[in-house]
Amino acid sequence: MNSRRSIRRALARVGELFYHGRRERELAEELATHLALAAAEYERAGLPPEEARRRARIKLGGLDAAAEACRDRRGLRWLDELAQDLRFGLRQLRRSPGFTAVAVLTLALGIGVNAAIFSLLDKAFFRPLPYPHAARLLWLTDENPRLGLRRQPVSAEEVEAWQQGAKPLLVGIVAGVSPEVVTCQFRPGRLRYATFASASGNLFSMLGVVQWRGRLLNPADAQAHHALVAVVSYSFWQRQFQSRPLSSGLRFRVLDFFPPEVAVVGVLPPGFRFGAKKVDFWIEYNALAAHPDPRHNLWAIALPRPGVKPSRLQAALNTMDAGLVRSDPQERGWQIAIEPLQHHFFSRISLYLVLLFAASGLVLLIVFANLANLFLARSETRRREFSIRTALGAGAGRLARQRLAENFLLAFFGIGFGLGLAGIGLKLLLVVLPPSLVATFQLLHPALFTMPELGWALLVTIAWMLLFAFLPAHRAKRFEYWRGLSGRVRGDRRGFRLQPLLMMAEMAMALSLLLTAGLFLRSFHKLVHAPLGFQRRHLISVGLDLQPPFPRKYGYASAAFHAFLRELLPRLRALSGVAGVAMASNPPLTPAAQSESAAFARAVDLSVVSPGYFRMMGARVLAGRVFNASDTNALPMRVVLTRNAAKRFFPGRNPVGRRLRWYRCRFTRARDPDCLVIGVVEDTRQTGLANTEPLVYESIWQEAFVGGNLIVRARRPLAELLAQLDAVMDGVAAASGLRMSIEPAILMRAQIAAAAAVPRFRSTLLLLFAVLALGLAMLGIFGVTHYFVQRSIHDIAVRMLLGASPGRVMADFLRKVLLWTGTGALLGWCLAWLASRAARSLLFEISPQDPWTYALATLALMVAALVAVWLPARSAAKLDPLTALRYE
Amino acid sequence: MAGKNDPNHKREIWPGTLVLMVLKSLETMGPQHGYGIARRIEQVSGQELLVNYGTLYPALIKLEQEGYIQSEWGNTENNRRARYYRLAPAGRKLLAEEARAWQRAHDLLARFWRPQEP
Repeated sequence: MNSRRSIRRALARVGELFYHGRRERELAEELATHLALAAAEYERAGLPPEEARRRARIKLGGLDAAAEACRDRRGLRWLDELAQDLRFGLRQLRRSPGFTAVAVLTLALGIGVNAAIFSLLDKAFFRPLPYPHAARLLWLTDENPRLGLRRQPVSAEEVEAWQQGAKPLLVGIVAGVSPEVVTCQFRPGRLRYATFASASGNLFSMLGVVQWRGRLLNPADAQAHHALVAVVSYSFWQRQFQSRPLSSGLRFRVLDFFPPEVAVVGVLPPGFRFGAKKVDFWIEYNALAAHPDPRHNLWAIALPRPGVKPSRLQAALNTMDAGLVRSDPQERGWQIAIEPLQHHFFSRISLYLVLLFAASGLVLLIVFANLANLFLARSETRRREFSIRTALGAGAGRLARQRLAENFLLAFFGIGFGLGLAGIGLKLLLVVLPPSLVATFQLLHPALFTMPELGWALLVTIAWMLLFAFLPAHRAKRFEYWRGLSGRVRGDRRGFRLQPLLMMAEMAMALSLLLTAGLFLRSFHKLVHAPLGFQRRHLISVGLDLQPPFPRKYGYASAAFHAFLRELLPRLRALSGVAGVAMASNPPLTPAAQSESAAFARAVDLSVVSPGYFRMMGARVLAGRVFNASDTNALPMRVVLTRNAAKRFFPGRNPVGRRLRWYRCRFTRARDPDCLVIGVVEDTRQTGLANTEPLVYESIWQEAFVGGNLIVRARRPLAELLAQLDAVMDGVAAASGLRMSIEPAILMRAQIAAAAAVPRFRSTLLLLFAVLALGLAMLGIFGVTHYFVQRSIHDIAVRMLLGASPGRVMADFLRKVLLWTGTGALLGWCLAWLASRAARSLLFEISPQDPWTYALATLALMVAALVAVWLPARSAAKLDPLTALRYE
Repeated sequence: MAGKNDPNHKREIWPGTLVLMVLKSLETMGPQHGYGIARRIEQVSGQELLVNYGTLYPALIKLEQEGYIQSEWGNTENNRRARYYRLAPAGRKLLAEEARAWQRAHDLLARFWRPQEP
């Protein structure tokens, strides 16, 4: 009974908080009535009204004290006070809208930027991938430290050996081929591109995926000799089959396969993703692969049994791998590398994300430093207010709580706006993201904000509250309030010790950001102006493939294609708008070359080119010769190496005239594994602007070849030329009786731009951060100097009266600021040095200590600081000393 | 929550008795405003007790929060707006219990007092 009453009362007390205003009015009225009734009674006893009221008041005691006693009884005092403090804080903030706006906006900016990056970081590093055993899944690659090669694909032979040998350690191993784009036909006459991937049938069961419809792939699907079966993605099923039931026998044709018929046996759940690329349909790996397949072109993931450490698995696999034939000197030094699947998926962005997070952290710290400065300045100007309130009996604790409430409100609004900004920023990021990164980002957890992000924001708030609520409050406790009341506010010098320190820290942080961004910009500049290994002007590439149905015998198809090319190339060369034309299986910087799978291909890549290719591209020949018409099928295979390939295969020797035995490539020639090196050409930027992987060229006349890219160097306006090219190709194709698929032309200019997109995005985003940081730091310097000038008006006036010239006064200020900035700059150098060393792998051909960047960034900082300090310094120099002193 | 604000707490006699006086006054007089209650207590005590509003109103607030009394705004005979308090059923019950308890305590003490009389 009693406890129930207590609870009831506690609830009523809490409830009172919401009726605060009404209850106050009612209480006042009730007490007034009481007083009036008492006075009325005295009046009835014959006293004059005035006297009656006086008597009543004497009898009843103090009105305010009574009201206070009632309030105490009614509400929860501390909660009531908190509400009071918050209301008071709100009033205070409203009273200085400028301060509030600056504080809330900069805080929102800092927190928004930081929260957005944290959100990405959290998703990439800590949010498990959406598979049941995600944390245990391992990504297996070959690596060769001797050659400096990391994350290289594995071969089917290796995977099989591991599967057999490491059974006690493994739940399973899955291997597959990176996604490829193929041409599909769903009904007669309608061709569509689709992305397919092949993987061992147990992929889905290992990932723990449950089918949406039908069944998943299983290893037995490889044995079916009649038709290929596929499992399709949910969106592909919706798009191409209008979600029709599987029982109706869904089929389609893939023109790249032979035979092309594919039957759909299952649908994957909506939103299933594996890897950065969206895959439309999956096929059992062994159903397509030749057997045995010596190529190193597979990715592999392993699921160790519970309790098996990755290091133990790695050791076991390495022993097994050593057992495989590694007699060839080219094969020395290879070993197995293991990393968590999640690391692998986000390896493209993780380092940069960490860098960005550090940058956003610096921006946030600058915001904090700015606000701390602002608060210190404000606490000095509010000295009088606090003195009065102390004199009126406000305890130090209550004052501190009031400031805490004020800070809390600022933080609250700052975080609110900040999270809003972060949300907008993240959405915007997906829009401006370079296409090649979109897929990786889409792999991230789709929720905009999850609990960790909100927790992080909370943590930031708490840090903020602790830092800045108690700092000035502590000082408020210390000063003697009567001094503050004595009119002139000139305060102790101690108060100003902290501000230059904060300013220096700001300078340091801004400079380190500026430096890092500068390095990225310089690196980007170098990247886009680096020699590509070929002349980039007016190049067009057109995908050209022999279309099935072509004869099953590859050799025959190739001969037909060769004949077609022998006809086509001279005809194209004869066009007046064409400066040169050549054929290449793997020309530089095409979308295919830049794709993920190309980056994942064996470190030595192959391009099959027509003899005129090098001259047409403008590639420099360094040694020997390039192909000519005499290199025909009758002769042993001739190859041309790039400089890096020559270095790889024949370190320190002249490769021309030597024989090359070469396994780890896309093609293996059982016929003749030894090739004759006839020449060396300049390296070319093959898969990206920063990449000069070793490349081996073969001649199309010596290689089975059914498709590739036609490279044309144009001489006249493109639109006209493209129409001509199409007409000639169609004509030759029709005459030869072959079906050709001709892809739309791609301009080399566009390809180079696409290759530059990611580095451009990286440096732009960092530059944005740096500019933000610099702007905030300038604001900070401006604020502090302005405040410093305001406080030192008296001193300046006296100095000017004693004969100091305005120029001298101004020079003094500038000197001070330069001193602070300079000290800050030294610190900034150290910070930037650390940051850029960590991010070294993202930089292109530029040292992390690039002196030009350091000099320019520092100069920019100095200029910014001088600009920020100019106005306050000028107002000090323009001071009329007499007026200033009289004003005091 | 049980403590010095607890109406059954016997050591703090004064607030406890004030609560009783208030409840009793309301029981006798029916709905009444604060001033009326105060006057009633003063009159019944023969002016020995002086009730100022610093003690009366907190007690009223507490009683209302605990659900022993209810209040609403009304008008006095002179047409002044005043808040009228009225006994709630729980208050009636509490009053009965408390009255019995006080009677017992009084009787008990009386027995201690008696032998000392000459």
